[in-house]
Amino acid sequence: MSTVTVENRSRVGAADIAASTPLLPVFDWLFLVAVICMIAAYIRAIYFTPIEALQGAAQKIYYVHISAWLGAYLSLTIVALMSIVYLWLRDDRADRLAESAGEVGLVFLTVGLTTGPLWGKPIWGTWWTWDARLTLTLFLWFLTAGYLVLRGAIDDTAMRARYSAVLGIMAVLLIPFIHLSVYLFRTLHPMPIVLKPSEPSLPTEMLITFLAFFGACTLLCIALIRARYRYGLARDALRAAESEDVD
Amino acid sequence: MMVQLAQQGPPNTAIYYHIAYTCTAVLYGGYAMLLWRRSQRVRARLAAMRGGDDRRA
Repeated sequence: MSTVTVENRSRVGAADIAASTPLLPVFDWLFLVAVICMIAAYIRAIYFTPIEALQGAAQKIYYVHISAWLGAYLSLTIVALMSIVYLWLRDDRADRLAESAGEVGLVFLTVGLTTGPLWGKPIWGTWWTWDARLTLTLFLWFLTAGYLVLRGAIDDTAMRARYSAVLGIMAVLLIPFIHLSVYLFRTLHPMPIVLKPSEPSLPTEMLITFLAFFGACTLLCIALIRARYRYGLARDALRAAESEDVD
Repeated sequence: MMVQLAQQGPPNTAIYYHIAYTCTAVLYGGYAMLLWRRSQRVRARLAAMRGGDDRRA
């Protein structure tokens, strides 16, 4: 028996879509595994990771801060790739995945921009400074928020997908500049201590904690994007069914 | 004075890391809950369109 999905709605009626779109659970085993990994990473960081001698306990913010940024970079890279796929193939699934990754990316960017000042205040003595890296990351947050606002402002499906695809591709171009900003400009933000060509500068216990957070955040990012995609699928089916009803 | 400073150990910055870890958990957990609530609403409306039948093709 064939499955009627929102992907082939041009050939079937809305009632069929509403009746037959499978209501997949938004959160499943992947999300549960991600949550367990995050809890384990939290426990590792809080109870089994030594405190840094110069910065004190505030240095532990490093683990959530960097992993949030890496999760954001992953999400925005997915936005850009799926945007390119959409512009090339005009496949609604690519647009839906880009939208999902964009929303999840905004959450991870918010975590990064929240934990950064919380670390900066005790170490630098200031919540914020307009240095290159911080300014570029704030621009990236605004671009990602703008991507979602743009999507909400356009009713026509094809136009919405096309315009937001272009913005999504432009946004990701900031990422290499953000990473290289500490090399290109004189900044208050420290140089990378793990993501650099030479050996990581973290002691082993701290490196393990960082990798634990990195793995957990990556899993969480993928699980949330998947959950958001499933929500988007159900929402699009509902929209298609409602518009057919109106017609 | 220099000897006393050396013996004091790392500065007490724990409050910042507690707040950061709490904010992180709230943001991730809050988004997951928001997503779940949105999906529940959509599922309810889809189910109503089906007339209460949760049929699958």
